[in-house]
Amino acid sequence: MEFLGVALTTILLFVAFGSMVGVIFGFFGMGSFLVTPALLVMGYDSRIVVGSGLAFVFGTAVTGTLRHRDLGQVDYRLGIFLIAGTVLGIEIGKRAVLVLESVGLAGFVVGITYVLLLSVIGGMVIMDAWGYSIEISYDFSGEWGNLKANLWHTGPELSLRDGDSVSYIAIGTVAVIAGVLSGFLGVGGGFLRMPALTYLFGLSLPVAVGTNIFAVMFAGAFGSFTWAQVGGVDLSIVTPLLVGSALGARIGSALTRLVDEDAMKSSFGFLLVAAAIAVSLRQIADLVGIDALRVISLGLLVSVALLVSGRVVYSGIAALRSPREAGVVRAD
Amino acid sequence: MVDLASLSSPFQGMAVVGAVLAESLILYVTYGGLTRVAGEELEEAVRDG
Repeated sequence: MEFLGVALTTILLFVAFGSMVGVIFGFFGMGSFLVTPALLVMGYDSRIVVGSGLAFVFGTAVTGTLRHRDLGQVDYRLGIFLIAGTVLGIEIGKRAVLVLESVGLAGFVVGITYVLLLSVIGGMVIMDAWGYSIEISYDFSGEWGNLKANLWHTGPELSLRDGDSVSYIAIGTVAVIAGVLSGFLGVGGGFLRMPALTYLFGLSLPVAVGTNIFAVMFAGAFGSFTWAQVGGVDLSIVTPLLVGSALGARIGSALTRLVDEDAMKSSFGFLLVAAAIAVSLRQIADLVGIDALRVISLGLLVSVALLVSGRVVYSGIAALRSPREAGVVRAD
Repeated sequence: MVDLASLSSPFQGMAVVGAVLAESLILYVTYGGLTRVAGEELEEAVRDG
């Protein structure tokens, strides 16, 4: 059975996967970057993977920005300059994918980049969850201090909302690098922009979150626009994903008040590593032509996403039940 | 239904951005109402034990 030319089972799979991604995104604050690996393991062309991934990021950022708008946690001036640099970076990233596509390497290179990125971030999250704290020094003394002072305060500077000031060169550097990753991988780039805004620019966490999502929304809009022009956005993929994720994100964000995020951290790390393994299996399947590996890679990604989102929801339900049971005990 | 592939490139880009934006706003309003009602019912259920 088909709906608008797309198999109903495919639409339902995207809605279900979108709701899992939404729960994870709403609970952990990250997760939209799981869409690209899913599309990769499903065998879509790299331009559809990246373009549709960015359109999905745009959609989730619109609803995220609407939720943040009343909180007044956006540094709009910084956000506008971040958008300008990110737009340039997205165009560079897109051209890189198209060049790689013309020589038949786009899927392989995007996949390998994803495997490396997910493995490193997933490994760090698991180590952190197991108590092996990873100390990344942001103490810019000595030579680092000179480097930071030179980069951060060279040329005209922008006064930030939190009182500090930083050069336009530094803002542009961060924005362009995040933009290249966005345009190349089809992600929002928040995992790079957020540490830069908090640790390097010194913004408070709430303002960094609000400014980041504001920048992601416009970057996602530009990314969708530019990729759609080369036929890179498939709305039959993006629409059901957004239908699922918008509801999942609301459930996930509501559960942050009931479930301890630290208790779930290792699950999130394993999800990232599983996504890296799934993309690796797909790459191997394409190289050696084993169809079974393609099925295993998709099954692995979907089942781990289901397990993690299911664990978050189950913990939330258990937390809701326990106070009620405690109330019954007190009543007895 | 508009066939996006038949539009020239810039219009194709704008049509996609408009479609995703419209869908996101519809979902925001729809789910906002649904979750508000569900949240109120949940609060009542917890309050009543």
